[in-house]
Amino acid sequence: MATVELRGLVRVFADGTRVGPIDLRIEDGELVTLLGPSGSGKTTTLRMIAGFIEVDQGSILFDSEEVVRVPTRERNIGMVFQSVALFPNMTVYQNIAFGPDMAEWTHERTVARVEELADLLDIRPLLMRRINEISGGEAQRVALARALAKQPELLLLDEPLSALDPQLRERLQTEIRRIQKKLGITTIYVTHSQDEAFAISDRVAIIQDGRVVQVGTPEEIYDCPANEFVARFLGSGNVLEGVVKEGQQGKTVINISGVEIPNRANMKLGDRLKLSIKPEDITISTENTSNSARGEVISIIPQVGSFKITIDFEGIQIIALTYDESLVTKLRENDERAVYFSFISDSVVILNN
Amino acid sequence: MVIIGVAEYPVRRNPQILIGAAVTIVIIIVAWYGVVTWWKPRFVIYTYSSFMEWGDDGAEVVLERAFASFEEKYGIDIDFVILEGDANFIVSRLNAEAANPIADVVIGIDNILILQETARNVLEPYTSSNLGQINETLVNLLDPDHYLTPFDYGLVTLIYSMNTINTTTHPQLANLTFADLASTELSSALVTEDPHLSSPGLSFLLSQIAVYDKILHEDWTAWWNTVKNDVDVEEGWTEAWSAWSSDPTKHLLVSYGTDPAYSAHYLGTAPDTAIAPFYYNGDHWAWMQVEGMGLVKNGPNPQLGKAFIDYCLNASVQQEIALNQWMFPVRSDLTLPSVFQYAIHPDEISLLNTLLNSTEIASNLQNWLMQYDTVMTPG
Amino acid sequence: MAGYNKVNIIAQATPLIILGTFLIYPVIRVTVLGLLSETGMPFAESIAYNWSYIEFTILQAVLSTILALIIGLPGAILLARLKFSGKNLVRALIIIPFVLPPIVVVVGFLQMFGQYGIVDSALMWILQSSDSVLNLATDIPGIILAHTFYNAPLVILLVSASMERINPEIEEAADLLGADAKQRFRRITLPHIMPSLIASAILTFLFCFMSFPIVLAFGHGSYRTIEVQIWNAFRWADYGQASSLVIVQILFTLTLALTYVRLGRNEGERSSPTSSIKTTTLRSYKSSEIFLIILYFILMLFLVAGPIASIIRAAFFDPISKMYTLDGFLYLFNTDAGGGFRPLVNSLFYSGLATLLSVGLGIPLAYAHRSKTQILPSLASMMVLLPLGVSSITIAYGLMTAIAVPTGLNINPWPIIVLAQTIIGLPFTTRSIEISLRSIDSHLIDQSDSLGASSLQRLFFVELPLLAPGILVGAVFAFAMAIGEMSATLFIALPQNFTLAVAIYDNLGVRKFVEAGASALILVIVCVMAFLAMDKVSEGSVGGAL
Repeated sequence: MATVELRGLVRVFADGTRVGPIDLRIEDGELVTLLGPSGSGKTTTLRMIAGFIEVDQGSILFDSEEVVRVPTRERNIGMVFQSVALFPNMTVYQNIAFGPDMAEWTHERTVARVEELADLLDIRPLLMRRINEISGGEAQRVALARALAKQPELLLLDEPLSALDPQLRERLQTEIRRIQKKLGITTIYVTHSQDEAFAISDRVAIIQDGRVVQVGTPEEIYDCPANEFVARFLGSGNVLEGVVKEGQQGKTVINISGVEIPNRANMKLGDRLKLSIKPEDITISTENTSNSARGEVISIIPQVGSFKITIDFEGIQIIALTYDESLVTKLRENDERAVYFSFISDSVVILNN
Repeated sequence: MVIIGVAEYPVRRNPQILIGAAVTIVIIIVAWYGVVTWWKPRFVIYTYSSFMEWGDDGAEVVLERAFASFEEKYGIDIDFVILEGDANFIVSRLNAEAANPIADVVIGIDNILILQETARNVLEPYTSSNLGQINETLVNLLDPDHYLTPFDYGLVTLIYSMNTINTTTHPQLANLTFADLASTELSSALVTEDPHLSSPGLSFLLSQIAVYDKILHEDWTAWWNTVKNDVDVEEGWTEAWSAWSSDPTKHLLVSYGTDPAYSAHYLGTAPDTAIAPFYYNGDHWAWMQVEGMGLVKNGPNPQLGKAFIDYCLNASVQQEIALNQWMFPVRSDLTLPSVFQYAIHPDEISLLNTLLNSTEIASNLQNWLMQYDTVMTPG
Repeated sequence: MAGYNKVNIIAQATPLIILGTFLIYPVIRVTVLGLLSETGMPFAESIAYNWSYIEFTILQAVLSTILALIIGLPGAILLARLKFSGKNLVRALIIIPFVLPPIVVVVGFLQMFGQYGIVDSALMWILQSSDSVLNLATDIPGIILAHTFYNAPLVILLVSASMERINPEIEEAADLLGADAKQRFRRITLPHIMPSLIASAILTFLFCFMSFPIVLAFGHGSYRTIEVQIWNAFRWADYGQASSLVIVQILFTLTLALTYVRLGRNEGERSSPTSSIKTTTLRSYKSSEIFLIILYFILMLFLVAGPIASIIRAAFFDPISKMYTLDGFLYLFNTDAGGGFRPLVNSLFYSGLATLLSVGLGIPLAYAHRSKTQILPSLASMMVLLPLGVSSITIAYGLMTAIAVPTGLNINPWPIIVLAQTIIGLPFTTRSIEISLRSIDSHLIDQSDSLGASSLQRLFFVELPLLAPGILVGAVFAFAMAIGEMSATLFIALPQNFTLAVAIYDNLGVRKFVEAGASALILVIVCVMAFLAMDKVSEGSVGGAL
């Protein structure tokens, strides 16, 4: 097993698009997800690690060894694609045995390994089938088994579950995580789905415009998005703008749409800044209380165990969660759709620009 | 669950063995080809498709009979490479091979073709020590510069099958003129050969030009204009012969004055083929074709080539010509077979060749062919 | 990784070097030397002298194209719109004319439409005439009909494929907006199929422009195209004239070929799978329309199926003696010098080798088409297109003078014949492999790399098995082109190297019709069998090579 380190990794495409510089360290046995919207450069990064595309600058270290000049087939990696990319001309067994065959394992060892993985992934009965005779979920398991068969030091998963329906996707997420932990294999996972990233990862690296903007455990990132992009991308945060104003007792405060919180960031008077507040941290009420702002309810959507309320505030949409059914009833009865919202200072994350 | 044994899983074989086998096969084929092609030194003679083929025994036997002693003397096998088509094609091939010829001698270039630069370019003049055996007029008619040595000769003229027409049904056949031939009835019964591709075809064209230009002093293209929609112009002599012999509407063929002899030999009786030479100013006229052999320029075995040309003038070769090639041997001391009494002999007839001298032909030939094309091309 | 790429580039450059040596160099050499040579006509004079032949070449190609479009278009519409059982079979069978050698088609046409042929005999019987009444297998009608035979199916295939890609919802929308059938066709269908119509017209024109055996056989030396004149010029050793004509021909054909490829590319990018096209059964047509459809069907039977079927008669029926005979087949098994056995064996041997070579060259050439380097793809497609636009005679002559003569191979020139046959079939082989290559998921390639396969292992275990259908289609086209090739072979071959196609031409020349017929029948059987095998394996993706 291996540690992977990316140092100042840069790739410039013919059209001028640039990915990097990327710096990232993945520990032995860790599962790190590269999360970002499409086009952010996460797949490019993964393909550089795999050796499918050339690196223009920087280095890739597997266990402190430079591999930039090493061809893909000698990097000892396993990879699963979204398109599954099982060889249609071979049986399931032949697909899984492909890696060991290329590494010239003995037949007995190969068979033992294939059977072991088949048992682990519960695909033993499929071994003699052809690829067009298995389902999408089975195909993903076979692809995973194939990637793992020759005991790679690094597993690369490029949106492996994106093409599957939500239920199957969740089941396979759990399974990938179980197998990854059981084998203790260093894994890099690429996805654009925040749910998937948070469900599966030890750590998540958020990629924006070809750069890593934040790395951390899912909790760290969720609680404390590093910038507006992360907050917006995670979809968890309401991004609001605040202005530093003169408050009471000669202290400065940050005024967010009429709600004031202490100036924790020690900003200068008149500075504008962005803040993120998670939906569950927003308190809403039909009454105008102190330190609250008035908005208009746009929609109320019932969810599992809560209601998602979208509020229009001076053209900005704010999302709040509530568990209070009586409040929801009141809101629904209110023809003016007026609502007052507030939040406590501690729940506000000040975003870096 | 089905339990599968280790042995039942397929084993993947690497492609090296396959590639190795393929490479070996390729090497074997190339080596085999090399051995077959270059194993023995070869002595190559280029000739045309009907060479010595019209006898009772077939070309193979005749050539073996005629050349066995030559092969024995020099310890070689003569490779008669028969090129499809007429002598023009042989010249074209010799031109293509001029940089590295494989043939030493070419047989079949005639007294018109040799006037073309392309033919002279690929030949080496050679004066055979046996040239004294041949009538000098033949040598001079063919090529006074000795690029070619005469091999055989014959008269190009019209022939007809007496079963279909004869001098009773068509009295004009006895003293035929081009004007007679231009009548729709006869011109649509006429088969000739493409003058571009066939030597009798070209001989016929030159005959017609000679008559119109030198005897009648008329525009020769007018005649072709009259007949162009009726006359059947085949690619070569072989094609023309088969058109004439198989198509019941074709009676007249541009061919050789020896054909009645062939007919008599073939039937074993009097011939059913007759010739109709052109008749002007009280004389019968025909075109004399002399076929020659030439030494290929830069050929691989020049000495052998010269010896071969000398040898071809020996009686052993020349005596085969009459009954297999159906031409006259160039040696005048040979006794001709009796069927040759039906053939028309050059001394019985006026030669159209005398009307057109070789300089005139050489300088005008391209032009004449172009004019011919202009007339004959439809539309 | 740099070294890795180098191996790839070398592998892809090898066929380019081979083509450079055996195609580009010989053709350029023969052309340049011809223009510089002292013997023969200079350029301007050649053009002036050949002007009427150039005009005729264009005229017959235009007429053939128009007729092919007129006859092909209704067929295309019917094939796309009419619902009938056996449609896939018809679609498969319609490709058969392409795999038939032109000289074989000549035999079929002579037997069907020629003097004392099937049509003529029927008319003679009807009119109670003892003379031939109608001979369509000669001169301009023969040339144009034979070209139509070849190219109407091409129009049907390309245009119906394009029609089937129309999104039916667009037509339904037009219907809802009140467009009648005529308006719908003019406003919706016609603009949609226009690129495919133009593409098939260009291709038809190109094929007719280059056509050789058909013009030679039906033109009787008086109707000559540029291609025939090139052949003649080489035979007269008039290299100046030959080169001048080659240049004219290349300018023409390459412009057309490039236009075609550009059109084809656009078409390919635009098309996206939509819901399937609406088809209707014959019963829903008006009776007058049904009558026309049946009439059309009979016409196609007559024009396309007729000549093929009459080859069978040609193999047994001697029009000279007017008797049925087995002489044709006796000839085929005659091992003597003039017999047909040797040409038969030669044909199979040469075309087999040419097929292997074509595939061997076609695979790396197809790869070179998608190489990431700047020049390889355009170089590859240019080289592959060249044989379409250069006369096979020129290729043959170039190979003779540039390769065979210096090496002495002309003493036993069958490898040169194989090379010429390979080069002439290569455009079709490469194209079908390239199309098949385009459909391979690039992730499969990445995947095998990540699993540790070397390039060689990847090629053998992953890529070649996936390319197999495309390779097979390409192989059959290569085989058909090689076994039917006549002009280059005729030029290079010594009598011991004659192939069946050449033997057919020879036999036709000397009116050995049953010998020609039997040989033609053998070629038809071989080609159709190869074609059927391919169609079975490749599941009907055959048209792609065009």
